[in-house]
Amino acid sequence: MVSAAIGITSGPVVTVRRRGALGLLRSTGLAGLASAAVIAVASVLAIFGPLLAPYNPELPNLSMAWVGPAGGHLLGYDFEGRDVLSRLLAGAQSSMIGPLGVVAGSMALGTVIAVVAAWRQGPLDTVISAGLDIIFAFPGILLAVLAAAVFGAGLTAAAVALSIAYMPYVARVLRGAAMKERGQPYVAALEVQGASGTSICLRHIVPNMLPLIVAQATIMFGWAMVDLAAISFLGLGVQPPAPNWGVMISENQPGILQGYPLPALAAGLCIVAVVIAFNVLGERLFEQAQAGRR
Amino acid sequence: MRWRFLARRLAMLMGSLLVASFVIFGALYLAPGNPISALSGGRALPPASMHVLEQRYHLNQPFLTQYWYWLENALHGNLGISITLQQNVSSVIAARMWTTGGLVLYAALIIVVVGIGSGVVAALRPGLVDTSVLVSTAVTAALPSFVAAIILILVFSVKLGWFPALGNGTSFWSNVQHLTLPAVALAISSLAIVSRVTRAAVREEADREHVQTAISRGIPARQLIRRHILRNAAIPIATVSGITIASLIAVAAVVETAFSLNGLGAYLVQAAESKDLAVVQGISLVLVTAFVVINAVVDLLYAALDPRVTLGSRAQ
Amino acid sequence: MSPRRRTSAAAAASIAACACALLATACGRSVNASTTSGEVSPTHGLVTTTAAGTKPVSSVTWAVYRPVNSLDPIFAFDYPENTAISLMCESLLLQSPGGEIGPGLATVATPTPTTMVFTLKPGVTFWDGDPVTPADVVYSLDRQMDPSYGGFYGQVFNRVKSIAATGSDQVTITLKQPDYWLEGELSSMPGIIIQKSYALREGKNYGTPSGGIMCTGPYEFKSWTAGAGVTAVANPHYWNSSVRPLAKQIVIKGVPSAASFTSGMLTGAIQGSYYFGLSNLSQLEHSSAVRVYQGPGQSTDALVVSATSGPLANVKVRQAISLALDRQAIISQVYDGAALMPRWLANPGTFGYGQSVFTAAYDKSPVLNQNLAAARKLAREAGVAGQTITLGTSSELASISAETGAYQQAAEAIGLKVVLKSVSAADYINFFTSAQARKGIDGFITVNYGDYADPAALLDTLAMPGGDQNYDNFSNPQMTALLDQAEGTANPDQRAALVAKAEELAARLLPWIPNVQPTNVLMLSKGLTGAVASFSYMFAPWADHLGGTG
Repeated sequence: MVSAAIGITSGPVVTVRRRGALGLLRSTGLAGLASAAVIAVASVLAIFGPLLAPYNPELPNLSMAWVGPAGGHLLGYDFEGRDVLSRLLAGAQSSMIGPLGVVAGSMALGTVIAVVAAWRQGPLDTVISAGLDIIFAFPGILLAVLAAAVFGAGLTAAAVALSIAYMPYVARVLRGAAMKERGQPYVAALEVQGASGTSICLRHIVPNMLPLIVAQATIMFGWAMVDLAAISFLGLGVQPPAPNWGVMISENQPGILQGYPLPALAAGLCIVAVVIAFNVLGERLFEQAQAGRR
Repeated sequence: MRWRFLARRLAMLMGSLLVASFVIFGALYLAPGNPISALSGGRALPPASMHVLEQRYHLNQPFLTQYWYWLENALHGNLGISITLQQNVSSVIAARMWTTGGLVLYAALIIVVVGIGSGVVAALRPGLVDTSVLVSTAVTAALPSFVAAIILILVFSVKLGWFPALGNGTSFWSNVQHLTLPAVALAISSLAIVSRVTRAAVREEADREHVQTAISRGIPARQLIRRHILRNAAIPIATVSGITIASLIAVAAVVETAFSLNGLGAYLVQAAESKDLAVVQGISLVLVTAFVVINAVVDLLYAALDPRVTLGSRAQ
Repeated sequence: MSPRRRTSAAAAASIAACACALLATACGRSVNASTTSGEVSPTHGLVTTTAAGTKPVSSVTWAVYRPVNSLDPIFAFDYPENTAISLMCESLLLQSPGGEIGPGLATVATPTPTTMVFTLKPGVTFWDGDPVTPADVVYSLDRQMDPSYGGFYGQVFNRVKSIAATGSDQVTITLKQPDYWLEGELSSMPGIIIQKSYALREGKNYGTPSGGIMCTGPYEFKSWTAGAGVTAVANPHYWNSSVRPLAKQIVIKGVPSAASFTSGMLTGAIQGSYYFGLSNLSQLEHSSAVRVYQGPGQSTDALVVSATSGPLANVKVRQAISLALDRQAIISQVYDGAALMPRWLANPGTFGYGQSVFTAAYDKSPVLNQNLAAARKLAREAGVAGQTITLGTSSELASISAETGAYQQAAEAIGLKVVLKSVSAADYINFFTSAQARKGIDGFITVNYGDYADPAALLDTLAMPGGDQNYDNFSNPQMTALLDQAEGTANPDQRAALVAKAEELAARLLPWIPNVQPTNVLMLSKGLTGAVASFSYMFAPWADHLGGTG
């Protein structure tokens, strides 16, 4: 969380040359492209996973519990005799949709607050900044646990809680960038021409911040995925028997002690692979965003 | 200057704590249904018990009054009664506090020693050492604590048999044994960040002009490291260490569940699953307070280390 | 290559290497590995006791599947509470490990079929030294019967007319009708005698961590804290001088995760338990640190049917699901072999009287083997294809989860859809106690038991109108007549014949669907011995002879 933030320095700022998305990707290097590929695969699975699953991911077959890879079941069976590969494929959906919601929610909210604070400045900015400082103190997982106790366990409550918990961080990071944009000469020029605050923000400031927003969203997806998987692992997010990578780790954990670690490990590796991909791509994008602004 | 900064930061933290306690308490009213059904976790209670709950939580009073009573009770150590265990929440917390405290302390130790140590070593010895530290931090940075937990259990407990897999120990030494794998699992992803930041900070300091001057004057390396580099690099290192240690408090719940430790975090999760709201509120309050206290200590440290501290949000 | 590229490449390579290494070590069970097929013979190779301990031990940590939530016998209807209470408290009559009922704190005489006279043994005292008086007995039993206390066992006294002290050491129970089940109940939780003055003083707090308890047993209550469990210490002034408790302290600890329980037994952090439903029992059996015993079980693993409407309320559907259920998989995967294939709802370990009658009838009844073709035929006749049933479960309790999965499998095989409603381990008991928790639930797994060794003890609670586990309002005139008559039949063999008929009927009508009959599993650390190995541990002191091996 902090490493990305440490990277922000204050230097002389120029208007960003807006590159196309493809150009941006190419500039992130081999690691960035590989990560983008992993993310693309995961996204495809998130949409088509349940259709691609070779066997029924939810039907138990107790007599086949824990059996290893054999004949068509590439990753073997889990603790209730369900096909592990099918469950991973089907589980991609809930494992990816949750973080998407968290990112969408916190980025939208955070961007709005950051831009408003940067635009208005003065006392409103002070209040907002102070407010952000204050609610910074609520760790996301705690808020999600509280939400589960109040509203019942489930993905929605957890995702909403995490959005709220992440929002101050997004707002802080973006506020700095928005302030820089605000101080640009073109903004003053537009104001003189009579453009409204809203239109300047929406048409110029936010788009100029886009590389940073995208980079932040990418990194945040990784954190949200880890946190949501943790919450599902705790039993407070996606509920078994619904397939989900975090749930699969906790369901199959007893297997590790009994000598059948494959189901839990496979799910763990899926999570780690996707999170690494988002982290690496996000960090590369962050560097690009800063480089573009120097 | 320093004291004004400190005072402002502490005021912010107290504000955070107050807002957090308000949210924790107010959750009772966000729950679907009425507060009584929330407090009973949806269980059917006999009328006598419902009456007791109404009285204890002053449910007939206005919201802010109830909040005040709750807060006042909490400050006196009375956090209500657990509906599933029929016990005082405070005694439940007291029984489990040491496990969580020990775990977080152990993990913090690992983060400080291994994280900072590896960062310093990587910064001062470029080449193979540097690369291997960078590689391992890149790998462990993305390892969620519960994935690390199952890998650690598989490798060190089941295959190698060096450590017990689950549960708490009975004596001090067996406690340390039982807490080792959990502490490593808890520390592992934060290690990477602390290591990287340390490495960057030390590198930056080592390149500074005054250090170069000292080198040219022939001052011995060890003295150099201690007096010039580390002292100045201490600020971002302490800051990031403090922040990551504070964040351990929340993630401890996940690790405790994975290793079946009877800590506060694990019980918080169980209480949330049983909808035992009084326990959830009590433990949340304790954890958030600990989080705020650690942040305050970090700020104190920061103010102590950097004489040039000024007003305004500190750069993170 | 730039340093950054080098790092990334090295990182990628090492990740891939680690992943491969881990996956390579991850093997699974081979499908041809012999899975134990369930035995049907009831007592083959089972033991009721273990060799008495001879050396003192300082502390024994005893695991139960969740933390104890009450020490008040009127609220004890689940394994953790029973285990803790039977350790420390005693009842009027006593169940032996073999299931026979004999004198406990008192002897009983029945001068007429409707009079039971209990005479307290001389010298029986509570932990504080005060003698057990008839007033204590009357108080304890009244407390069980009185609906205002909300106790679980009021039902068992439904034929009692009055209970009164009739002498300095005598209590007489007068019955409205003959009741030959009451002796069995009084050898169990309903018959636990507590001290009247202590209970009155503590009021609502009796049996809670703040109130404690006052009983008569060889182990006395010391403390009860969340996280640590219930601690009992040896009673140096135990009234029965033939029993000398050897363990200085016994701690009853809740361990909800089967995995952490296994880990605890293997490392010695837990020294003993009656934990059941362990899918990795063979891991403990093969360990040199643990000794595993199996005794006759009295519990029945079954699906409680709580549906009053919908598919499960139809007897044909229940029969179809029962025929489709893969019980062998449950025995091998959930119990790792420590369970029997059922013929009846009752566990053959409950034949505490009239054994020859029961065994003959039992052996004539068909084993509930899987028959998918017959199941599908019945389901077609019932015409419930595509309908949904809701099963209650807990993802925290591995055995319940797995068995619910087996039911899912069976239901889908006959064309039903299944929806699961999962609650936490601590809340699973609410399915039994709260109608609100059962709302919308058609069934949930239980491992249930009667209060003493009699098939009628369990059957009565679920198959009689008004039975406290009769959640689906099951009522069958023939069943009711059989059980009512059995309750008033003096001759044990005749009683057995009636109950056997009732069981045969239940196996056809399926008020609950029996899954498997667990044996009673006892696990002790190497170096420890003497615990009772049969199910009677649930109702009678089980640690009287617990101690170190010589």
